[in-house]
Amino acid sequence: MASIELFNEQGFVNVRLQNIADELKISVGNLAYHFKNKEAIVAKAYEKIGEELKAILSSYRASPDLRDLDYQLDSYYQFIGKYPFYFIDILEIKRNYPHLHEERKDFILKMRVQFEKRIEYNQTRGILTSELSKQQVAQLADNICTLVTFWYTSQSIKDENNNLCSFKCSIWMQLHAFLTQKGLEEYERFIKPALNVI
Amino acid sequence: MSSHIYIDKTSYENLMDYMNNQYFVDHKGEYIDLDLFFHDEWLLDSAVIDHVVERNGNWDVYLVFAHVDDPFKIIKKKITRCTSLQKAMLSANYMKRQAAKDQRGTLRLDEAYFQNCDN
Repeated sequence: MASIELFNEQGFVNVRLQNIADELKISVGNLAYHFKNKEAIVAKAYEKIGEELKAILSSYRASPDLRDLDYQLDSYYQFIGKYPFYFIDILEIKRNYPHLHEERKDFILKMRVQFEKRIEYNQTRGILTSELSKQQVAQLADNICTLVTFWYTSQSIKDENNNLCSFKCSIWMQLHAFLTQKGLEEYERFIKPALNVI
Repeated sequence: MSSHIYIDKTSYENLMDYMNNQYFVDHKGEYIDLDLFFHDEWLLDSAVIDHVVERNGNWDVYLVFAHVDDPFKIIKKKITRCTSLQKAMLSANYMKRQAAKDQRGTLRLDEAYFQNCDN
């Protein structure tokens, strides 16, 4: 956990074994006895993060209406706030430890498939317009996935305030244009009151 | 134990589809589904099938009443219990003949109505 906090604060590339050992108040030799290098620490951190991400992904279809996506966005936001380095340093980790990135790619794929299937599900329910073709649905799901992955990076670059509302708004705005009349009613009832904006 | 199970994209998509479909097919039963027990006039036009099952050293005689037009209207009742198979078969035969509307047994149910899948 100490290493994750350091990665979050200083960025993955700037943290050395010495920093982690100092944070833990142990010697570097002692740390190296348990983790032979930084890669081993990152791998362990990824294992822990992966477990939490799996839990979020397994919450698919927790609710039969639009709140299902909303609940999952809440979880993603908390997750991003807990492990920002996982999103900000994604390219550095990919460059340094490509095999660790493979598992990450699997999570991203699952996330995208879930968004895609959610859109199809809501099309069948008559909540989202059925005029969207399969390719358009896939593209829309990909856009949402990109937003979830890079939203925090984008906000950090702009030095803008990170809050749940702006995160969820940016994603709901992707879907808002495709809501049917029935979808708008559900949106007004369940989603809008929590956003306080749109 | 390591839990590294890889699900490929197609299987994962199928899993998500399955979960989505649950919303459209999985519903709680309605009281109207139990109508066949309360409004049992349909029993007059039912085919009667006897069924003998060995249980705890005895033979249970069941009668199955199935509507000839709507095969999903089925009631299975335990009629009696016999100590030997011969007695049970004989008893089942008499009960069936008494219960059936058409004692010659011409009211029959076509197995194909049930659209059973053999897979």
